[in-house]
Amino acid sequence: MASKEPVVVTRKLTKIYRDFWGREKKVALRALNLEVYRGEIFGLLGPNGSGKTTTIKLLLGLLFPTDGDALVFNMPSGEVQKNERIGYLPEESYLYRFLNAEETLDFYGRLFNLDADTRRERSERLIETVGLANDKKRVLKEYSKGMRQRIGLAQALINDPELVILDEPTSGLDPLGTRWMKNLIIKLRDEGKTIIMCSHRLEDVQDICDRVAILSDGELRKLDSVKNLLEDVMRLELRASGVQLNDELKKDLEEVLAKHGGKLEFIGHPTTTLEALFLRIIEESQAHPGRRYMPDAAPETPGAAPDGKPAEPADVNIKK
Amino acid sequence: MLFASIILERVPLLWHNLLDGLNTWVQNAGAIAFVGIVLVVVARRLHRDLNEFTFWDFGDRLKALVPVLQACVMIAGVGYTAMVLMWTGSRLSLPWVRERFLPREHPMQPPTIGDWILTASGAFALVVVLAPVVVDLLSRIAFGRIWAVALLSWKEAIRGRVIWVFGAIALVFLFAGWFITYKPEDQLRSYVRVVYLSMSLLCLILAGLLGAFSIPNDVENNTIHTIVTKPVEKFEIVLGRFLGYGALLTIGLLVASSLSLVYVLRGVNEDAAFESDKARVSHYGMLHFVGTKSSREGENVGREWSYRSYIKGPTKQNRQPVRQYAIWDFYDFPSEVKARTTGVVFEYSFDIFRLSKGQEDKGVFCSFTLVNPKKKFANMDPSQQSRELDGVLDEMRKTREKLKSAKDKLLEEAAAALATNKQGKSKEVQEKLDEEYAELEKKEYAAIEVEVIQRFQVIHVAAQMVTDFHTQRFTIPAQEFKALTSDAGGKGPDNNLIPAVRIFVSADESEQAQMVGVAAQDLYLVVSEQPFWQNYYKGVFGLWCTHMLVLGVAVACSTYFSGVISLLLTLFYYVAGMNRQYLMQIAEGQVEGGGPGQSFIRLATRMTPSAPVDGTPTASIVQVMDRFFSWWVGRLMNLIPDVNRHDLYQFVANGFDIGWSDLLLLDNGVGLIAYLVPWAILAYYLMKYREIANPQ
Repeated sequence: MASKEPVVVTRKLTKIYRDFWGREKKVALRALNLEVYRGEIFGLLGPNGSGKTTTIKLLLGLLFPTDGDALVFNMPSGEVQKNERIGYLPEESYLYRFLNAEETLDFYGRLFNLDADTRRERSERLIETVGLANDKKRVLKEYSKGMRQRIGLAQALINDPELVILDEPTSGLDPLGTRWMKNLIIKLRDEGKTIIMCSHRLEDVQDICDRVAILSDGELRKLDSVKNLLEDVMRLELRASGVQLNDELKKDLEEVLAKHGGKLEFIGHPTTTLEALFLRIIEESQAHPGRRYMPDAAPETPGAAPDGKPAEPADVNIKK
Repeated sequence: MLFASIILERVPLLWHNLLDGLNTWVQNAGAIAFVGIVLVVVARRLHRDLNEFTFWDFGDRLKALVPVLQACVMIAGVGYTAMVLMWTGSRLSLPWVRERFLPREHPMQPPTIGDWILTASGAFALVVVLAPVVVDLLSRIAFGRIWAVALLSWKEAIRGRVIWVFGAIALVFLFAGWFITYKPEDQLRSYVRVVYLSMSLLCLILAGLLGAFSIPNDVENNTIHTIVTKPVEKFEIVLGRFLGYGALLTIGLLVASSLSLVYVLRGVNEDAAFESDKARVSHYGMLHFVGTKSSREGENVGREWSYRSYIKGPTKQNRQPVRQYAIWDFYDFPSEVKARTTGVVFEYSFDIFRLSKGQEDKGVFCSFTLVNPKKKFANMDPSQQSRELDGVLDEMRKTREKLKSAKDKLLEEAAAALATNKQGKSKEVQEKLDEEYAELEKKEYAAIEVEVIQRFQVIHVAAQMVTDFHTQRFTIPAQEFKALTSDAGGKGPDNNLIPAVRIFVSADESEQAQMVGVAAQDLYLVVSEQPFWQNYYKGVFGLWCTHMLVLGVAVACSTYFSGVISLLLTLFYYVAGMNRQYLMQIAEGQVEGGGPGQSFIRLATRMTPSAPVDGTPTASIVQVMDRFFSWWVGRLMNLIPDVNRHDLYQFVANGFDIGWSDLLLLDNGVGLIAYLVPWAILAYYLMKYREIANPQ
């Protein structure tokens, strides 16, 4: 669980890109103040060009700040020693494609001055963890994007880091891979590691992040826990089961809400997410390999879930 | 035999010049370092971003170094400011400033106060730029990580099929025979030339490409992100790349050169073996002339390459009142030559120049007269000595005849005694007695020659047929050489060095006029002969040095520039290095036709290079601009590598030993390091203070 010990601190962190003559081209990040605590999953959110990747690159020392400070483990971001405790997975897996998985992990292990036995032991374990044991002798150029992302994560963990920085970790992964990645990130957090991730996939961030910073045009717009950010205290949500939707029910509810000064906004059946649906189908197909979808078969009962189970109770959103 | 040409190219660094060389290096590297410091200070003033960099981040333990380094910057600044003031003073026609405070113009002159100031300022500037590098090397740089990057580079090159380049070298060996034409004695020379050229060219391209594109490719593909986010110092990447590719080139070159050695040495004919299948350790004398217009050079026959000077031989129609001689002075001899019991070998190779048609292929008879000038001539003037020479030789001949007739009588008596002794003896005994007599006869006649030499201190090697550009030799028996040099050399009454042996060379009298072209390295004493293969690998070391130099420059450039720009810059430095002499002429304003501005005027107005430009204001402005250009070329000369120093194939091709100590270790090894160190320092700073990620 997250403590209040800051692992990453930025104070008025600013990055301005300039041209050769020193003229200002773009303000990528302006006076960013944030703290990331030990043991939390911290999400950086924002549209393209909002400054997420710039923030990560500044923390890693890949870019130099124009102004302000970026401290990682209480060391300036330009200090190489801090990297001993960091694992970094870039947006695309920027690895040497002429190496195979074993050689890749061995190479990065050498950069941490790990001895041969430790390198071998960790490589084997990580290859197993990321599910590439059968492909460890293939060179990376033969890997799919998802496989490269997996080996990229393995190289980020070769030093057993305290802080893991993930830039778009689920990019290029299929839903199964995405679920696996999210579970792994949660597992890492449970092991006491601190995770900073940025992603375009809001549902991923929502699912796993403890706190989120929302950036736009290089400025911090919001910073809070996911729960606090998403909770709308001005609205109520009502769930019911054992009752069918009809006009009478609707009218009754409108009357009750009107009595309390509220107004019914929506009433209807709940829907599942496409991700949940997909995962359920895949899990089912793995459990029953012979069962096949028949297009000409009779349509399922409206309101029933694809597996034939009764539909979930309808969600009722009530606005006060 | 054009061996002399390689001596002409440049004078190698010698051990006794090492301190001078080091002094020049400190001055040059220090000045560049100080320019760098000034640029950084200015850049930090102009760009606020740069204030974030901590240049002297030594941690708490070495914090005390910072004020020391700041003081070094101040001292260097004061020194260079003083030099600028002195230079300004000399421009204001203050002669005492020019004589005492400006740096010397030639390394042979004694150093001035200005030289010491430049050296001291340079040393302080170097301390400033070197301190962070040294601290990092000692405290942060880990060989394990460098090794990891080197190994990665190696795998990258191998799996990128770079090794095929070495296969291309094999192709050259396979088919070179189709295209190489040679005279019999040039067989080995031609093979060596082709092999060295092909290995050099292919490996140079490889070194340039690997070095120039490795780091830029890493940056472009973002693969460097996963490296620099590990605890890796950026300079470790530079060193790792250099060492990895360096190891690949070294092993590739070693394999290619070993295969090529087999190719070169298969079926060498006798003439070629005599010319080149060896490594002569040679000892050279100083050349001067008598009978010509100047003692420093002989006649000019109008050849475009004016390296050789010519002496004319007398003809029956023109006996020459003053005979022309080429004279080599040998001031000392290696101890192994003095202790030799077999003959002392001198080799020579001259250019024959005939003044009449139809005689081109014939040789010219030349005479070589070795003299111990200390004992023979009271007057040390070579011209005087040459005039006395004929008389001395005549006296020697007479003395030899006199001694011979005395010996003949002695030998006649011995022959008579032998005939008596042989009577009634078995055939075997008779044969043995004959052998003993022959030995005696030989010994007695040899004793005559030794006696003559001891008396006259002259050895005359007459009527040697010299053919055009062929290596030939004459051998002086050890006893005779000892008789000549037993009391030789030392200092004369005027404290000048006296040559141990002076060799007078002249063309003999003939029907038609003929001339012999000579250069200082055309006649030499063969101290010993080393095996060819050993010399071959020494030559390959020269190639290796060139490859490392190109690789180092390419890697250093690639820490800041893109791959293409780095390759072009490396190419520029290499080509400039090959034409260093010409650039030096530009810097010194000695190019015929003037600088680029003047040349343009000449082209536009169709003027010849030798014609003086008119005195119009435009021409004057252009001349000033050319002088400015020359000044800049002069400054750039300090950055340009002397690649010719590593070009040792002429030694191998012509069968001359490449000295381990001076030529290989000092001139090539130390020279390479001296050039690469400043580039390494530059690479350290460029890499450390560059942003790895591209703006997004």
